[in-house]
Amino acid sequence: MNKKVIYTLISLAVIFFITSLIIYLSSSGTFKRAIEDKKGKTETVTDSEKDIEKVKIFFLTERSYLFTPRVYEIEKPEDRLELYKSFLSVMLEEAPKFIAPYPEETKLQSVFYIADKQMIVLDFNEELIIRFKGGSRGEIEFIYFFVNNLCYNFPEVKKVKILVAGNEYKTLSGHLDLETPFRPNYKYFRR
Amino acid sequence: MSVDTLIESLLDAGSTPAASIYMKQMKKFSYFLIYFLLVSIRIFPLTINIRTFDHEGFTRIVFEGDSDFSYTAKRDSGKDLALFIRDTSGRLIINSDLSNSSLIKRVDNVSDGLETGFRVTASGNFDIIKNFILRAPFRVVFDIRRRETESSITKDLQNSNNGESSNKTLPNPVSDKKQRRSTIDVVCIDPGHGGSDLGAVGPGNTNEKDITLKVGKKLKMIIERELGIRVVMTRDSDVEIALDSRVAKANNQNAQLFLSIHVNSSYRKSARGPETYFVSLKATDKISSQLAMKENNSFNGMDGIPEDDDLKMILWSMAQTEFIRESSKLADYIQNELNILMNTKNRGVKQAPFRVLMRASMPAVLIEIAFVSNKYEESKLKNDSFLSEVAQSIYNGVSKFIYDYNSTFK
Repeated sequence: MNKKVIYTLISLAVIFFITSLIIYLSSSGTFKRAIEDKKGKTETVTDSEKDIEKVKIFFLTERSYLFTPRVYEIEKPEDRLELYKSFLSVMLEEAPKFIAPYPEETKLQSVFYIADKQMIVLDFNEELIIRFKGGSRGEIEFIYFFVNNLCYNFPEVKKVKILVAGNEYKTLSGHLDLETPFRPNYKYFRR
Repeated sequence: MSVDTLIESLLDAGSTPAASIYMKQMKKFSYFLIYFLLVSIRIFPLTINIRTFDHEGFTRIVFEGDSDFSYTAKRDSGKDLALFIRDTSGRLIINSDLSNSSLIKRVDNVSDGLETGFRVTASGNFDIIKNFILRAPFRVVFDIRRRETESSITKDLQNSNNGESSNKTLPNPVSDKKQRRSTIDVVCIDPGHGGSDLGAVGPGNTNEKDITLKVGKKLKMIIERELGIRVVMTRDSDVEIALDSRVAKANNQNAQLFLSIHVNSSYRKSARGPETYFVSLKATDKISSQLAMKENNSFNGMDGIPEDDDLKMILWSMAQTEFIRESSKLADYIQNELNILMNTKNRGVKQAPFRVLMRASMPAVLIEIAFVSNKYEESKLKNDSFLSEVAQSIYNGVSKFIYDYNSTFK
């Protein structure tokens, strides 16, 4: 066996190893996978070790002024708050692939759930209010992106309160009232 | 003698360890007992916040306590209403906000022997239409109406909050049409943003605040010229004015229409077209709509209403609830005119909880002329003749509404 054949076999083995590693990591270690549900393409979930929650997240696109749904699967931790956080992580990670209705520098600092009020509190960093390019429509898109998606996927959540840097603001940029928690308004969703 | 030494002298302290432990327990209990007694005789002051709002056809006076209180209501004349609070030991703090009512003039502290309270005085004689109690937070509400004739004076109204609302209703509320103040003769135009608040900024650096002011001024000129009615501007120069002050100005000036003018912006670059909004309770919650009906119409308090402070607060702050139908109609008329001007598909009027509209005691809409975030529309917004056309279109919608509104009085 000459050297050329040996090198080829070693290269193939390395490629096979790397490919296997990637497949293994992507199937067991990650918390989400998008499924193309609209055009009949579906992906079978093979991970049976962990509970999976199927969620529908509505995103803003250039094609429509209504939010458009995509289905995702996220790991389902026992703690509901952790589930909300996982869900929000997916929202924030996926939104830039569509249109993120908030400034790039926006960070979600903390998430709380107040059980007796059935309310999620989202606390964003100050960059949101400093850099927000809002009109009424922009504010509506930002607020209902979070409110509708959370209330739609988790029936126990009835309303969402938005804070900025731990503080309550009257409005984001002079339009919608932020002092009162928001309830969903699905008129902005393509269902 | 301090409370500490007083307690020790009252308790005969023993010398054994067991007696010492017993004495400490008794001491703690005594502190608790003294605290309880002091609280029960209300050493803490009672704070009452007084708010007033002019609504269509009546004025609402709200006395909100930081805890429940017992009271007696008395009237010495047709112009006043006094509330005497029981068991306050004179420690009563009153905060009043009368800025949203043209009828109520002032609030004074009064004393009547053992009881202290306050007197609300109006600029003219009034009748009490209804009186009820709301809870969480505890509120005593009076709806009053300026007296048209002297025949329906009611004196010495005695109420107490023994858990039942008082149904001392005077004349029943009349129909919607009759409750209206008059035909429309004052319109408030609110050019959005201003000063350091630029509003939305377009990709070509067009500032929303400049566009809204230009359109507002043009609209004012057309309305005054064509209809001969008074137009109040929340701002007529490049200054920053708080949202709540804008609507307070409209309420104080007794405006009968509120037009907030804005320029839209979205992270969707393709977003375009005019949008006209009005406040709707449905935009926040279906239940709150039912609550609105109860709070606005009920003579029997808030029985059966879920304990949800947020919803109640929404309703409480929403003077706009009574004008939803008219606001919707006004929004529809304006949106149709703007659709014709800009040749856009009618997506209908929209609803959202806008802060500037919520407290308006009149039909109120927020008009988003076009999207400054859209390059094509931004270029149009830079054109002064386009802004004149926008003002004319808004006027067309407004004048149609005013014609309909006023014709109900003919």
